[in-house]
Amino acid sequence: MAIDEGTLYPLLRRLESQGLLVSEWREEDKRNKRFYKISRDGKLVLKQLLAEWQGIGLSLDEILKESVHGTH
Amino acid sequence: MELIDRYLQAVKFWLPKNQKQDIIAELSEDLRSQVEDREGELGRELNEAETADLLKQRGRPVLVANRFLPQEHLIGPVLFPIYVFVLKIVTAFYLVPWVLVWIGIAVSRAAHSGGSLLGTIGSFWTSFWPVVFFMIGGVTSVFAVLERVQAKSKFLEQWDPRKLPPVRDPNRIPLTNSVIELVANLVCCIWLIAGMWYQTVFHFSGVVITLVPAWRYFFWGFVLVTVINTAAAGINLLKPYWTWARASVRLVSDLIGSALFCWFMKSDILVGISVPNVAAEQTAQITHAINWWNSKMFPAAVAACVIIAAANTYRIVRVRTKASHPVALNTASGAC
Repeated sequence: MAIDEGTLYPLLRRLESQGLLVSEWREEDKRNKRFYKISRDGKLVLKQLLAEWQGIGLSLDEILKESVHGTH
Repeated sequence: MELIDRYLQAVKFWLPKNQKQDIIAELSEDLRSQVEDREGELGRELNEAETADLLKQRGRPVLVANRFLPQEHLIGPVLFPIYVFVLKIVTAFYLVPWVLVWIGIAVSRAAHSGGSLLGTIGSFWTSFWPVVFFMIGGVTSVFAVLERVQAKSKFLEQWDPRKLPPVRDPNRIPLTNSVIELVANLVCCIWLIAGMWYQTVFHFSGVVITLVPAWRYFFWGFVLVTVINTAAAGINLLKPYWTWARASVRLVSDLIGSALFCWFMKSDILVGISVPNVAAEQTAQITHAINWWNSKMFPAAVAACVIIAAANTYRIVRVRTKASHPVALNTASGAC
């Protein structure tokens, strides 16, 4: 998924400040890099959001099916 | 790399103190990785123009830093429509009257002391801006405080649907309006007939006011208008919905009243005033000043009459439109 760095880093920091991500500085390829990892709370929220997302997806599928059948 | 350091310094300036180092370290590493990747593709070091392009893609320092800051606003989207509404009300009921009063005073001064028009405009300009500044500044400050209070207490979320105002029908005549109109016109009618009956000299506690003979025409005109208005207010009280006929009668009555009023302003109505223990020269000056002011206020009177006529015409159009589209609009069940 293409995402602008100017959007990505502030977003990661916001998620970290909400306790959904944890981060640490690590050296890789002779460079210091910050690595982000999903936290335990983050996994719980992700589970809820996925369920919500799938619910919306199913509802949309139903609406689209009805509209397709309605037009033909 | 000097360009990148300058860029990072500019971003750092706008960042919150406690996060400056951390964010800059992350941004710095990301930028340098990007430069290295690009250099790997080209097989050479980036020149200044190419580095500048890369930084331009990242965005202006203040905007980049802004994305790391919490979202802040002086007046938020919840209060903003109310803020604009209050500004409009304050403009209509404070700023506009202030400007009109100022123009009235300026015209009077110019007529008496003979000041130049340019000087008057300059004086207006220097008085106008501080008034506008304090008006907008005052309202904005109050709303900025309310925004902070609302963010904490959420007072706008506490409301009761049962306290909402009833549905308004623009063609329904409010009871209070009819009562006020009826009483005011009745009092005016009685006062005219009982106190001003077809005469031009009036005595009030020793003060004698003499009007021009043309007052007799005004007298009958004003009596006619107040009688029509009293009758109309009485009917409105019993059947409180505007109809085409009643709105037309109101327009005609207001047009007659307006024409009389404008004529009255231009007619040098006062012949003289006699006050005990006041010299005749002084009372003559007062008489002249009152007539002069009446004459000067004539354009304002005409403007007011045009507004009244326009409002009456709009009412007729509204009533007629409603009559031709009764389903689309709210029905006036009590209309006659």
